[in-house]
Amino acid sequence: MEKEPKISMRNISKRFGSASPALDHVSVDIYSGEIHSFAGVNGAGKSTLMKILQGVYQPTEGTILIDGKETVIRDPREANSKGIAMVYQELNLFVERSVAENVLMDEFPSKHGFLQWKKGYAECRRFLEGLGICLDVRAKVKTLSLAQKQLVEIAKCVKRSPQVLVFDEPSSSLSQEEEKILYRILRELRRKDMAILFITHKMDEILDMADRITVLRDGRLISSGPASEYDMDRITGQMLGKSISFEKNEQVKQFSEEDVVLEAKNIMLPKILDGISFRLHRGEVLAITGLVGSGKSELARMLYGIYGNRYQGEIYVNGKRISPSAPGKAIKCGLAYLPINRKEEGILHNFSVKKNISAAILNELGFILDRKKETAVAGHCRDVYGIKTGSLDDMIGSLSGGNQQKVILARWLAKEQSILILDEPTRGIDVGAKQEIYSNLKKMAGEGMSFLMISSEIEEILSAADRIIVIRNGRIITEGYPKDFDHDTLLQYIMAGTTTQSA
Amino acid sequence: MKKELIKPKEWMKRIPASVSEKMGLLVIMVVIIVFFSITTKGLFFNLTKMTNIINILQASVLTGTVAVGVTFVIITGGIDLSVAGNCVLCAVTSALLMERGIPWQVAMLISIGVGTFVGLLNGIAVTKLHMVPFVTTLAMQNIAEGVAKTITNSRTITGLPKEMTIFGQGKLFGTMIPISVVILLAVFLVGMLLLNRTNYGRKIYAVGGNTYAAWLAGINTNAVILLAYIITGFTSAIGANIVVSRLQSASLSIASDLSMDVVAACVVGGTSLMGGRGTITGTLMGALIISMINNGLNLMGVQASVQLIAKGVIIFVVIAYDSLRKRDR
Repeated sequence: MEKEPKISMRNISKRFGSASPALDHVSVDIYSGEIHSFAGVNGAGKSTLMKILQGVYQPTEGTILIDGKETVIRDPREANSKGIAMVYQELNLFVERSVAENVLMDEFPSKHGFLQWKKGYAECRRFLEGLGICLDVRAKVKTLSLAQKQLVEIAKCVKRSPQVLVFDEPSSSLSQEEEKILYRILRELRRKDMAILFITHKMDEILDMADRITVLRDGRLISSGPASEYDMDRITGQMLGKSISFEKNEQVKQFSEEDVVLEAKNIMLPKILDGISFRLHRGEVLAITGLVGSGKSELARMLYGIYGNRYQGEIYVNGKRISPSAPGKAIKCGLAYLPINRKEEGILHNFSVKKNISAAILNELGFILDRKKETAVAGHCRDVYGIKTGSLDDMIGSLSGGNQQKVILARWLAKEQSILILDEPTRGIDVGAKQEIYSNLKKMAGEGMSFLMISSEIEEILSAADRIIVIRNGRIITEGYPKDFDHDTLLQYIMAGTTTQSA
Repeated sequence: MKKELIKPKEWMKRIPASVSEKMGLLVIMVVIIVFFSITTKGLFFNLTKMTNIINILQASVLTGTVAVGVTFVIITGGIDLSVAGNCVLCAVTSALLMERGIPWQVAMLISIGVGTFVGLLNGIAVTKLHMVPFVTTLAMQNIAEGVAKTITNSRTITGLPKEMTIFGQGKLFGTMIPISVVILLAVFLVGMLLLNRTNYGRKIYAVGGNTYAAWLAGINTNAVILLAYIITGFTSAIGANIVVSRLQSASLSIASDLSMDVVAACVVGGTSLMGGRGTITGTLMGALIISMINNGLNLMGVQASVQLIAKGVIIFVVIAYDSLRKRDR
């Protein structure tokens, strides 16, 4: 490697608040003319690293060198001017305007201040054809499919001819045919000596495409090197860090017909869920896993009434048919929900710990709030879940992520809900707090609570769950007990990649 | 390098935020009192001859009463700019009915019903039709004011029954304390209890802090927001009837500048326009501050046009402070 790195990130750390660092002294070199793939499970720090490179975040520590010169990237505009562009997962397109306008943007040809439509359309058509993309350049972007929009977004970024192009899960919404187009574009750009950074969850994609691979875990750099040094086992092993002492749950809990507390029959949600059926038993932790977009989170949200009446199928709680059309109704049926985005959907940031815990039992506390009872209940819930807080009156924001998560759990304990739907309960939480949450789940399950745990973390599923369901494209692919799987087999079921592709 | 922000001293950290905010308001009040006392040569704040102090209190009744309701709405994250129009509508409704010979008690009750109904309409538009509060209530302002103009032919209604002036002109048992100020205090107390001690008040803060999270926690967010607008309609009607009672007449001009003064009172009092934060006590102090500024500038003989500028600048500065503080967090 006599080549000089295009970009060199040195000892980058990033902390958000008091929680464990999102990035912990990560150093990576990025070379021109290479496809560089970043692997890691959710929360490993890939996206944070890319956002630092893009100027969205400022690193807490560390330096970035571009062409060997130390550089500060203050915002995305500055990143752009330094030749770094990013294709975002969430699309940044003007949906009311045409494909050509979106691709060419301010480079749209004009004369005396008037746009030259014909010339612009022709120019855009030529450009897209050069990339092998077949699209009507006059069509409004809002009429395109999600995958087509993704291609427009990619074309828009490529048009700026950046030297470094970052892709954040570019293929998650593409069909196989469109994936091929994307891969061809990537190879073409590599040939033009561009540096391409590539975040993906698909193993085969990494192994097929990458020249260089970097693996991150829990915000730390695990390894970085030429792709030839890696195979599937090495990458997954490093991503998951089998060395951490997660004990696999080898027990098989036996349940009878009477133990069923929640039953779903043939649940359909247009374009997302395609006939999901399952049973959750009293005292059971049932894990539902799958890729992003498999429908696992949507299943949780649907059961909690967030999608209203848009679903089809039957849901039973303790043998009684229910139709959760809003969270309030789902709560009355005994369901509770721990959202995936704690900050946006879980905590009430303007409230103290106590008030966050009591948020679901306000009606029970009476019109004139029984503040003694409130304090007593909150204190009890704090003790049960071991919430670490100076005082119940401390603001929720002063707590660590793990403790905030426990506060939301406590909210439902206060409400005495018996069925908890947890959507990625330990996302963005440090390892210690994770273990505490698992032991809490085990304890509460022992007392008769039931948990439906949506998760994409393998160790979490194998150690905390009693039973596992894997879904893909809105359908159940397989189900079984933790003892039936190991890391690799479960990962393969989830990844949809090289294993049997059912029609 | 970024400039270091000035860190609060250690002792300041031990004072709860709610108290330190009120302290700030008290300091502002004292500064205003000292300033105007000097510029008006003691006329502004004369403790032996209470006249002007009572004037200030009386002038804050309308703003204060309405602002108590608007505080509820702003804490939910909304805004009500229809209060001025609603007040005018309530005032002329009351007066027209009295003019027709309907007993003044009944007239006032009907007028309060009308004000509450306007609040209900605002609430339905915001919660059921998902309309943006800012524009919705601005439209409602026009509608209410237009209706008031139409039904009165833009005339001032005078010659109302003497008995009903008790709320506006009466004094408490031979003291100097106006009954209208007592009513304001009553509205203030009820508002404070509602917001601080009841589950409804708690839900208001929850909705304002994070509507979606509150909904996911099982709170009926629409009902909470709807009720806030109804409360605002109700307190607007109360304020309007006190004014009718004081003037013994009703005209279209009773509530000029009201919307601005009310929002200013809330914001100066520490209610965040982003929602989720604010107190009734702060709002009441805010209303007093606005009233003091209006009164002091009047006594100084400052032109109305300059008064407008002064008030605008004060509100501008307070809101700028509010959003700067938000950014620091």
